[in-house]
Amino acid sequence: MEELAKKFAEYLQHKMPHVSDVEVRDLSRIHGGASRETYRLMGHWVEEGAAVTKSLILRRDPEVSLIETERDLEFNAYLAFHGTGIPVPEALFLELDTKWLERPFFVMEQITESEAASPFLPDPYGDLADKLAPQFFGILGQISAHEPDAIGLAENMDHPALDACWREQLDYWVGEIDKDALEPNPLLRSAIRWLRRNPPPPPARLSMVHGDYRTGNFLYNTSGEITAILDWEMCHLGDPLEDLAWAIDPLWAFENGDRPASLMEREAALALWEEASGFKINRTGLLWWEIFSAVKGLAIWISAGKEFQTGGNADPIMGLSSWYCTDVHTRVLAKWMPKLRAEERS
Amino acid sequence: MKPDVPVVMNQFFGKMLLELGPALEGTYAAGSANVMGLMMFMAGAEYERGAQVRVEDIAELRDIFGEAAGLVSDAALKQKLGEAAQGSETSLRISKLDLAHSQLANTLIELQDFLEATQADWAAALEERIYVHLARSAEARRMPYPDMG
Repeated sequence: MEELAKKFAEYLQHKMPHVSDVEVRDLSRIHGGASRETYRLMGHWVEEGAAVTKSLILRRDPEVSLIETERDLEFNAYLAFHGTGIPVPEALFLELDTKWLERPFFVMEQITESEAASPFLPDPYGDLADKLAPQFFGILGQISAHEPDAIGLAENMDHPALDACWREQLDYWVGEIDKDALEPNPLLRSAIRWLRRNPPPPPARLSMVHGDYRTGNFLYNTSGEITAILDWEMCHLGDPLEDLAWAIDPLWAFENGDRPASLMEREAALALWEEASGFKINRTGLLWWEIFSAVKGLAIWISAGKEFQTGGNADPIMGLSSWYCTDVHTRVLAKWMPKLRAEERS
Repeated sequence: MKPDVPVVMNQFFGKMLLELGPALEGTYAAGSANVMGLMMFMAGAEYERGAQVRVEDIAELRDIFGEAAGLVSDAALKQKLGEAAQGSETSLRISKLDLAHSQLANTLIELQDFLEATQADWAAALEERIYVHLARSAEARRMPYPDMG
């Protein structure tokens, strides 16, 4: 850790040539975040004769990730949404040159006096749930409502045709499954076939899709205010129902699908999102994206399991993701597939 | 062998969660200790039930394939189903059972694909039977989660 702190202090000095006496203290790795190594630290320097202290977050590419993502996507999302009313940390530096910390990384402001809850607890928010719930679904609606091109985030992103949003996502995640699966999953394969036979209606327009909007990926304080939406590394342009379906997935609510995100009753959550986004939910489309969420989840857990099994990444969270999350999403499909197939036959 | 493996794993889970995790400085190491403890708890349950769950799944799949072999018209699939229905295990090692189950699961995927394209009532009934099996299997393999309220 000392070596990393020393190297990072040299980097900060390089990025801020007008300051002096740069030091990095209290560098520690944060648990979770299996797609990137995440560190919190205190940066100290002297600027115009005055001592400055700043709480920072360093997000470094891992050697092998849970999900293959481009770090500039996440960095650009923070840049684009900062100051728009969507709570995100201020993005500071993006570094692709590996000479500094061996792997690419980016630096952002640390949101202090806030915490993220574990999605794997039955009641992660306790008494704060009633206050957090409208913010959680309201902010998601606001993200969906943003015109992607207007905030400058969409210019380097694929703009799929409206009727191709579903196929682009499904093809990508099925590709990951085909690449990484170590054992067959008949429920997963039957769900994929169903998704291909029953495409959802196209969205009214393209939206910015966060890609991993869920319990555990936002910070909140003890007053019950959401202070930051994190983990934008899978953001892309697509159908806003993709994000909504992922946010209400039973995995993120200790399997209680009636109380998505362990925050509020399902219909109330959907109504909040509709109000904030301005979109009317097509229920057929939402169901498609909910089944897709289980497939996408399984793709991620399958990749995590492969990395752990083959020694690519022995972080325990990779093993747990593969065991526990695979189990939950397989049972989600076990519940849905007989009904969906019976409806298809009728 | 005493103490029983699930007992050992449960005790270690408690130690990791309540003693080692809190004692470790740094949130990353503490978080990893908690996750490892949780996985020990799950591994203890899997040790106890692992062979039973797999043997039951394999037997049920072979029974399904036996029924399907008498119904499907596709000659190649019919032969494959017939052969799969006749197999038997010579080892109860988990790795061997997993290998056998994977081979049968691949055949099941092929059968489901065939059934989904077949409109006959028998196909619907067989498909339904397969989903009952898959739901039962998924439930039997459910990962136990400790009450950490």
